[in-house]
Amino acid sequence: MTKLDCLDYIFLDEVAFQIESGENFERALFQIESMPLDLLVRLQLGEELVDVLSSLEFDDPSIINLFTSLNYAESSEILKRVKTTSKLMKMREETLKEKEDTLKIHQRRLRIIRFVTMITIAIMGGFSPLFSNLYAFINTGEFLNSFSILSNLSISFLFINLLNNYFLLKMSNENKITARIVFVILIHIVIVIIIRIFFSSFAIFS
Amino acid sequence: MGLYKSDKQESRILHEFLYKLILGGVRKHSSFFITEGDLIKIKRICVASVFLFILSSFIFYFLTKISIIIAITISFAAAIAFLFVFGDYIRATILKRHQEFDESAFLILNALSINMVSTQSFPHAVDFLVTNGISNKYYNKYFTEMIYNFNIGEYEDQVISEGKRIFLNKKYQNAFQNIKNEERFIESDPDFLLRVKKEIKLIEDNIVIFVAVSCLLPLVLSMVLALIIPPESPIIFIFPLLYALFGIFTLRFVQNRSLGELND
Repeated sequence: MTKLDCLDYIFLDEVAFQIESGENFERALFQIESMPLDLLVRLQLGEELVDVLSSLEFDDPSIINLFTSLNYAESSEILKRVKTTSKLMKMREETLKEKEDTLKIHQRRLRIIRFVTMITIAIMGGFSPLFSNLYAFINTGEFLNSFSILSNLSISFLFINLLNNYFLLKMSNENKITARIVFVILIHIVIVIIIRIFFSSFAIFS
Repeated sequence: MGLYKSDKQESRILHEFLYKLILGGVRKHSSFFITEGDLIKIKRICVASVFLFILSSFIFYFLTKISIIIAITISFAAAIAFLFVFGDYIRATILKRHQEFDESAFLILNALSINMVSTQSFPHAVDFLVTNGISNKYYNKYFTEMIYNFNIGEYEDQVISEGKRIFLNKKYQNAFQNIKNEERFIESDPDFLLRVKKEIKLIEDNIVIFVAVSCLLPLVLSMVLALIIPPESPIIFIFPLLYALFGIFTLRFVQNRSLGELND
């Protein structure tokens, strides 16, 4: 099997163009640039057209069927059917590509938003002991430096980060949501620990 | 016997209410794709959320010694958030199934039309389609049945006019009806592409609000709560729960809007 180095519908379009400009089906193949040379040699040696074309590998197997049925057809019939097939294939390829491109742009945009909000919320989570200590500060007039990582507020921020990521992942139609969520937990914990280290290096708190 | 009957009726009404609450518009829109398994999962989630409610009420009340009203409020919020978040997961699965079905409808009609051009016969085109493999199990089963119908000698036109009902969409039904005339394949953008574009646009319109709330709500709430309640109080857990409900309703809003517009 020889792989064609262009898209199926472009090959069909070229065949149609050559037939339109007056060639017959077999000669049209010689005019097409993407046609592999060894197949042309086999054609020149007198092998059957359908046998030669059957050893071409197309993405869509129905093209071989089409060529088989066109073997003894008239030029106008060949032209019409090749053109219709290429139009249908082109429509499918373009629609799928458009969908993929639209989704890709959307996913990239949401991914940036997801990372920015993830880091912001993790930083807030890291600073959460400050908020917790405000209460004690107001009540006792003394600012404590007990920075426990496992405070209620800290856990709430982790929950919020997870939920935020889950919603954004759902919105962007991503796969492997669980794996990405585990990754978020790791990043969140790392950022929180970095901020704790940053805190403890300050003289005022230590 | 009578008591048993009324019990059954009550539980049916309860189930109906539950499905309506969780599935919402999807129930009508994608009814073909809701399996028995989905409904059983929804029931299990409901039972689990009731357990969660009871368990967390006890934990909060006995472990943290706060007032029973606060313990019940927090547990209730937790149970509702649990119910909606996991219910939404099932809802999204059903929608995804529907979306994949729509997408394969386009691909199948396209492949059928191409096969029609090459074979010039509808039964052969269907046969070729099935031998090449259809990834969607609904269609695979359906077209295999169609081949069987041809084999027992049903008329082609009858099979086509009866067979179009598998395509739930009017546009695809017409395309299937006209399958013998390959020039008349769907010219406009297929529905699944329109749906993707509409959903993306809706998300783009609302993402600013979503991001603002997801960063501001925790910040403001934590600052305000830090001033008025002690840091070890479980009331703080209310705000991730509020956030969960907010996120779920944003998602549902986007999904419902995109469903509604396509139905028009």
